[in-house]
Amino acid sequence: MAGIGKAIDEIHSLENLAERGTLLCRIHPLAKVLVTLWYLILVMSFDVRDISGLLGMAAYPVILMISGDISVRQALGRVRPILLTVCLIGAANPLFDRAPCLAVGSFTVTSGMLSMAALLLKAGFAVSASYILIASTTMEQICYALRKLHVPRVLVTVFLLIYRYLVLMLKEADRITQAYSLRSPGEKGIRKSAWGPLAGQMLLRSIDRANTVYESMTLRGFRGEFFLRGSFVPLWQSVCYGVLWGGVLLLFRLVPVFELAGRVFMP
Amino acid sequence: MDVFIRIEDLRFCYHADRYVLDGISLTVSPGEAVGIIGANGVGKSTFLRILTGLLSGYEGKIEIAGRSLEKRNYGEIRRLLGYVFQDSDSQLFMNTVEEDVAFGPLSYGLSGGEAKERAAWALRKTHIEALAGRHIYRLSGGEKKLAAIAGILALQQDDGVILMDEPSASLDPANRENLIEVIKELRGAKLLASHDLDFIYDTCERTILLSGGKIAYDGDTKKLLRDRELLERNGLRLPLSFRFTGSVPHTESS
Repeated sequence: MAGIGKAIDEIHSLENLAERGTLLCRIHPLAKVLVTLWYLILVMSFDVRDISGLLGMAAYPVILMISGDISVRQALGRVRPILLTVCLIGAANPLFDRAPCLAVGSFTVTSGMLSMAALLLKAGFAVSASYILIASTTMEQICYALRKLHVPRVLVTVFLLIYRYLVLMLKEADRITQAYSLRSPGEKGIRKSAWGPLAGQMLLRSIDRANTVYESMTLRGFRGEFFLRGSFVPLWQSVCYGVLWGGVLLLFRLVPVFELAGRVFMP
Repeated sequence: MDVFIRIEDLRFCYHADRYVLDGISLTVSPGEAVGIIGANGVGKSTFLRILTGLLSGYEGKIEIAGRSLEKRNYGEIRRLLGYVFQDSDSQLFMNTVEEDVAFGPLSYGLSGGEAKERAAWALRKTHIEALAGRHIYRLSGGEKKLAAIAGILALQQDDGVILMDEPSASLDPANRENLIEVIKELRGAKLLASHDLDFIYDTCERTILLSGGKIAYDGDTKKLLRDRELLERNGLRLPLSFRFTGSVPHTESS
């Protein structure tokens, strides 16, 4: 039950992160969204066994986390469930694909092991890039950028509302579970017979509150358009950010940086 | 404009067999403060929600600022008519107070600078300038109520009407007094639905008593609050301050 409160705090702390005045937070959201999409496309385009090429893509999350003052420990803690899921999915690869690829001393590295490692790296990089975007850009700014990219209004509105309703639903769950625990001393968790009514109540109350939020938005003129708020760096700096990262990432995709470095040190 | 809101023979029902509002006719002038009282389920909130356009399917005629209350006029009407929900917690949805207050002006096409100016003005009017950068989830109940009012003021700038559903609910005495001061300072028209008769006495010169879907009284607040019999017949009780003094207490508003 304390976990719900923690989840709400996590969402609020991400919002706080996105509203700090760091340089990364002040880059135009469209530039950040485009660079993130470009990064995801490039990461996914690597061959399933191209570990050395993929490693070069680590530069993007590493540099941004340092320059954006984003805690790596916190980030790892927050994306851990996703990475664990990917681990579970990838764990089958070494079992099914046992073709030997290379040998390190007496240890044979199979094709399945390489593909699992590549899968983990791809997932890790993709999740880190998304986390960096969320930690430096508010949800309204992301929605604004998506609208600028001509993503249909209805999709962006649904995206925003799901985000808003998620918090409301968590709050309702928190209230209901607190009310339950106060009237059921000594119980650990919620007994099975109470799950149905509790879940139903939570859903009904969440819908009710979500309806109020939507009514409040429409009464104040919301028609699915988003507006950019906050102070940003001059436009040319945001353009430079986009162009520079776009170029650097393409370079890392085309040139295997780690392989070249290896050749320099071990000719 | 002498009349800001004109309602003629308003009828509304949720279920076909029973009218919640049954033949309501009234007018509200610009700047007027009108209290709407009545027992639970008498239709106070329904009445306010109809005026905002959130509930449609009513019978009769409603005009707000000379415009008929129809879907095609909602945009214009909602710029002039703000609604403070009973639960301000659900009403505020942006991250910070300033962002939330500026939401309306931005949605109506004002530039970022203009919206910011409007937000600053509205925050001053509601005495919460210091909360501009505060996160919504860190506000107290009283602060949320004031932030919700500021969000509406930023849009209408004292030119319209503000509707409040149980504005004093869950407020402690200090926040309640602060809210009364803020409401008194607003120049626009106000329609306040409440059970809190002391609050109505402090804020409204005119009060409408709803009973059985009809208007049981429409007139001077002080006169109504002296009528113990009428109040009790309609499920209400004399305000606390009246019970002890036996008459209308002398306050600044009187």
